[in-house]
Amino acid sequence: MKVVLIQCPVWGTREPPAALVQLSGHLKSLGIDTRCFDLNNHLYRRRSDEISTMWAWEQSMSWYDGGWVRGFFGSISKVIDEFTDAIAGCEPGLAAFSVSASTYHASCFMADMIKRRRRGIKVIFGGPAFLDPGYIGKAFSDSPADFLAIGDGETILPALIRALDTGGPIESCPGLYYRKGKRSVYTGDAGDFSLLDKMAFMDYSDLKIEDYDDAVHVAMMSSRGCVWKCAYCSTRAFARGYRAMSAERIHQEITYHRICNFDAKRKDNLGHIDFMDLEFNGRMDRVKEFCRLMIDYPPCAFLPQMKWVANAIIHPDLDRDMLQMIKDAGCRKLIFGIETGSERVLKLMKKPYSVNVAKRIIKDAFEAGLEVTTNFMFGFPGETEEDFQKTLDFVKEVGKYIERVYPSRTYCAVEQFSYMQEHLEEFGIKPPVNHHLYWETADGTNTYPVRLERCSRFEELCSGLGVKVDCGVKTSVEMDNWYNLGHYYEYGREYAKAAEYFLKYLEKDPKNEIVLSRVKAIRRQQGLTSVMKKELEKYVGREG
Amino acid sequence: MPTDRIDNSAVLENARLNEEEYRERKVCLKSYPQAIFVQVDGPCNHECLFCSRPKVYSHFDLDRFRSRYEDLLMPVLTRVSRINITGSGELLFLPEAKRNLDYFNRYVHAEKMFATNGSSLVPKMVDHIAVSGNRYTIHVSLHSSNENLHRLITASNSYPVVMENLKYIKKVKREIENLRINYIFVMTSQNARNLKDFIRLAYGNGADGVVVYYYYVYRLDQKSASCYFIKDAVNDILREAEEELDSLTGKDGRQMDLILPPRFGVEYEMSGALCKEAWSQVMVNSGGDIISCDVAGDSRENISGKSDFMEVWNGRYYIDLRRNLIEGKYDCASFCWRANPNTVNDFRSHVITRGKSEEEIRELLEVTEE
Ligand code: B12
Ligand code: SF4
Repeated sequence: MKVVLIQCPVWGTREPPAALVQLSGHLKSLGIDTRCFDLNNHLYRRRSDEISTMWAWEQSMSWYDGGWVRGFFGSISKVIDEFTDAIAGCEPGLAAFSVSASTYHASCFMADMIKRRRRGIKVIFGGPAFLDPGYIGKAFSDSPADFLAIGDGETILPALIRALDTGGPIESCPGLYYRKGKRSVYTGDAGDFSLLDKMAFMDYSDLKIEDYDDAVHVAMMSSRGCVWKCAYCSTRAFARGYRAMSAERIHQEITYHRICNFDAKRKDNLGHIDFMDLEFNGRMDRVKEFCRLMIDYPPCAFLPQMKWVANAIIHPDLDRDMLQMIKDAGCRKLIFGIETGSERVLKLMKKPYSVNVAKRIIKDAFEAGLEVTTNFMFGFPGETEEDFQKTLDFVKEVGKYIERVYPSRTYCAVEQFSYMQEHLEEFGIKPPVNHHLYWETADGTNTYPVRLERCSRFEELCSGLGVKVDCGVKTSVEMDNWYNLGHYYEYGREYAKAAEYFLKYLEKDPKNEIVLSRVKAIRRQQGLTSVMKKELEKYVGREG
Repeated sequence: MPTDRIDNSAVLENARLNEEEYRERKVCLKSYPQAIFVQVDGPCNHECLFCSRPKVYSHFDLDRFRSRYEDLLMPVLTRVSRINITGSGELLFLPEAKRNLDYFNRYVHAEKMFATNGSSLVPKMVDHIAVSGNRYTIHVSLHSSNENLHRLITASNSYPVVMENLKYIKKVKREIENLRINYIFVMTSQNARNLKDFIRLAYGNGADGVVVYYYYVYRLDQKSASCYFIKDAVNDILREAEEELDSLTGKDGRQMDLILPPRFGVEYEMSGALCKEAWSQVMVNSGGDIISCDVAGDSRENISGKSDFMEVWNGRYYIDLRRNLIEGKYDCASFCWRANPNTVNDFRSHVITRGKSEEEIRELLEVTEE
């Protein structure tokens, strides 16, 4: 049976979607005929100016709105039809969608298109979205999917494909929900694909690295999960425990891709690796061995050394020698989630290290020649103004060793699946939290605007110190603040304030679809002055 | 069995008996094969003109191999003098390549052999092989001595990568004795004229041998590239190749093997010799299929479900094969130029029909009449 793997918007466009290339490689290595289709990148490459910010992560909310997605796809029906034809043209027996919260509605839409175009095709949805039971509940009614998968595609898909090929019982394929009359039935836990060393290499034969924004790097997730349990963290929940490829396995894959992508005419020649691991150094022995291999056996030694970037935790074994070895192995940058300069807040966050160790490692890493990026959060529940000052002091002290800071543009969110979300009381957060960004502490001292304001002060300080600030937003920080506050006040039904910020935003970006749609939604609400209404009408017209 | 303590005399005794049984044209054998060919399939980065690999195929998994076949194959693995670990794609590009090599290295008594397009034969792997203490013969399927031609044949940009790897091997080979490198030249109408330069390259790089094959046609679109259609030119090219090597050895003194395919239009004396592979070698793939050699026809045996290797080795497939070979009835004698060099003049010996329908075979062979 032929299988197509599909990525819908919105997703990253720097490099091919990891789940697709990973699963494609794996299925092919089992002899399963597999093709990949990335609608996200396909649309992104053809985007018009009006929707160009739709792929900026901070403005990608529209994709979470089913009505908007249907409307948008309807407006580009020719492109969607052609894409569907291309998929159907492969004559697949199974269409497998990699679904996250941000791609859910587009996946539902496309599943429907494909089902109509190719009779008898089976559709499966899998991916991070289904860690959330809410999605399991609704996906069968929102889409024509036949199966929903929970867990690693490497374990789930081969068994399902075998069963579909041979007419075997679906009940014996673990990790699936399937339809049985009006009910949905769960086949049980599929278990993790625990031996990452056995995972086939990522397959870029359909989704070529050069067709994506960066074009010169391999993005690799060499481990799953994390060895720490930070209170605010939601990402570690997407894998149980911690699994990691061996250093040898990582080195094999990197070498493979560099050789496969070698082209004497090109200068860059896949010169970079972005490790997408939540943290690369959960096991320091693995890092050491990996560095040894990269030093002794640089992939394509006759080319410039491969450079790599990784997220890292503040591990006490990151001493000077180790950091030097990391540098010698080609590491360009380490990204640390420092988050706070306050020892007390670190404890609240359940981060198992001390501020001084972090300072030492940042300095040593700098001296080893590594670029250091540090992430910061603002207004973690329990953080006082005094604690925040310690964060500022931290930057004053070690800012000179930091290549750039990455202040969180969500400041501090109560994320789904985080320890914090499950223990609101422990953190003094006022229940219920209806919006992950707009929560407040029970004492009312820590609100979204407070957090935003701390972030602004932090950015100001950094700029003053000459520390580069990477906001990670495609617009400007100022615009992002207006955009965020507009949404925040709209959410709190303070429409006059919302309008004030949206207007500021529109002055700079008058065609922004998302902001225009918000303006349309609020312009007849109570509390707006007539001057304001007129101002808003300038952008959306009277009837808009 | 602790394989590093295998009694080498058992290997020698098996080889002696196997030779004897072959000489005596025994159909049912007491000896085990002298060579085992384990199809280790891996990912590939080339799209060679003449490649026979299927569009999708499953990659070798050591644990699967061991759990399914190790017990059955143990009497073979412990007696063979050669283990060939080649399949579709590059075995050194498998995620667990080192671990796979380590496994086969446990059968220290046997020489290891594999083919590679050279791009995966990176210094890390060469060092790993070198320190293993095992004897290795590596066939580097290069087919060309220059980048453009290499690109044409392999549809890849990897020539400079391969050259760097070969440079490294040359260096390592000076220090160790357990490594033999043969450069492989699959000759098509496109690269035939490059053979002389190829020999010079191999010689300069310290290769132990150059092995030239005619290329087998697997697909209709590959037909025109067969050497069968440039017979006269090929004969000249083969002669010049020998002269080139003579002149190189004459100047330098270093010997290098040159194994050439039979020439066209020459009457080769057969002296009753018959292809030995059905006596001396067994090939097994990841599905447990057993065939006698890489150009064998469609019929095959499967090892799964057998309780003893001898059920395969002296089963219907091998018995028929050996009997037919002895009686001269088998395809090999009529269409395989390795078994019978005189068949080189018949286009059928340049075509592999395995897995093809009758219609496809007819189309493939049609060209002879054209
Ligand atoms: C790396 C990453 C990214 C990279 C992706 C790069 C790439 N090339 O794909 C980038 C930076 C682009 C990215 C972006 C976003 N991300 Co992100 N990302 C991750 C991260 C850290 C790893 C994902 C990954 O690639 N893993 C490696 C691959 C191989 O594994 P995988 O995708 O999980 O797929 C496996 C299984 O899920 C399953 N599977 C997947 N698809 C399918 C399909 C079928 C049919 C089956 C059976 C199985 C299956 O099998 C796969 C192999 O084992 C996860 C967190 C995590 N711990 O997983 C968040 C995560 C997936 N991201 C998330 C989100 C929300 C986003 C964003 C939408 C917004 C945001 N807040 O960042 C943006 C996209 C918007 C935009 N405009 O870019 C959420 C998804 C939440 C949810 N409930 O769906 C996660 C879980 C983080 C979180 N804690 O919230 N992300
Ligand atoms: S180190 Fe990062 S990934 Fe690990 S628990 Fe903390 S926030 Fe999550």
